[in-house]
Amino acid sequence: MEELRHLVKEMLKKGIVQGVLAPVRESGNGNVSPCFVTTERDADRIALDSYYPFSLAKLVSKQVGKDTKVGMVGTTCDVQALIELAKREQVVLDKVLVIGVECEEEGFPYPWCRRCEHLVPSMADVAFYQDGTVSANTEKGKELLSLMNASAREKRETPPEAKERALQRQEEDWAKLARLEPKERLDYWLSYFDRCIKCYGCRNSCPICFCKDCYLEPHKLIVKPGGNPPDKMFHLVRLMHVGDSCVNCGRCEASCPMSIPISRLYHALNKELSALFGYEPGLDLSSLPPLGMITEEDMKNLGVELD
Amino acid sequence: MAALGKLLKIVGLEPDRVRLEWVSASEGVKFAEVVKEFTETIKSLGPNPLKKVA
Repeated sequence: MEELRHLVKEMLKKGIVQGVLAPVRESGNGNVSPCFVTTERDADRIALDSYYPFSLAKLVSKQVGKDTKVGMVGTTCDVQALIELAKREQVVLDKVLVIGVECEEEGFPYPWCRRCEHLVPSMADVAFYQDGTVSANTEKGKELLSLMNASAREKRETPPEAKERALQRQEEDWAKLARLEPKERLDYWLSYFDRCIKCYGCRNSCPICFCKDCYLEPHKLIVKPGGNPPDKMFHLVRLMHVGDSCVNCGRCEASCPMSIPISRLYHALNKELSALFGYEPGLDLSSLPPLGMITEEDMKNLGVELD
Repeated sequence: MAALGKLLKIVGLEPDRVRLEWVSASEGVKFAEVVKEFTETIKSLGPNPLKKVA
């Protein structure tokens, strides 16, 4: 993936972007942290792990100004998150050059990665694949690749076999819960919600949770100020707000100090909802989140008559 | 509503606890019926399990 670093350097040298947001490896402890790459030295440190525990999409939406153009290097779920934010008018995609990196399927201990069906960032402008090849998926991407005379290949999607395996792993993850009686299932989740220390880590790390004026803030009184664990509504409100557009990036679960398996709940609801509304988050800019934008046709399909 | 039902089901609450019904101001009888029916449903489901744990 040296080509990716080379591409980033070219983008910076030619002044196409002011900087590139990317995960970089710290020289000391080897940790991966977010960095606004503006120098060649930083570009050399770009980490191409299939997972990093923060959302760059959320940072991009804060970084892009009226006259700034930035790049972003990210994995599929982060690119999906960026698309979801763009739908919500939190970021103007014209100002962002998105470089996606294909994820490895094996070797990730995180439950959300094991459930993931989207290894290939087919919605990024430029996609780099694990076998070292690259493709331009948009006009913007084509222009970008012409900079580095790389031989671009055809745009690819996640192989169906990989999707199949992911679906199987989802089954395994949810089967036990699905078999439980509703009462037991409720107890299962309540016992986890009782661990919550209301650190707001899940909300803060969630790329879809962008509201400046959040309903879960104490002064809004849905969740009473003070006292732990918070009201059960804390989790249910967030679940309802994010459920239709969760991209299963697992940032919430990764940031939870109490190890609540949040992404298991969110991803499960999201799968139910995408079956119901035929909506998959983060793949297509033109299809809008169903809970925010219900059309009259949707209402008819759901059996609601509006006169 | 369909989405909310799914949410409740996934966390283990009864989707029947929430109901949406369109009743016009002129449909007094229907309104009474709906409320009566719903009250019975809720009574048979028992108190909200989210309330007791705290």
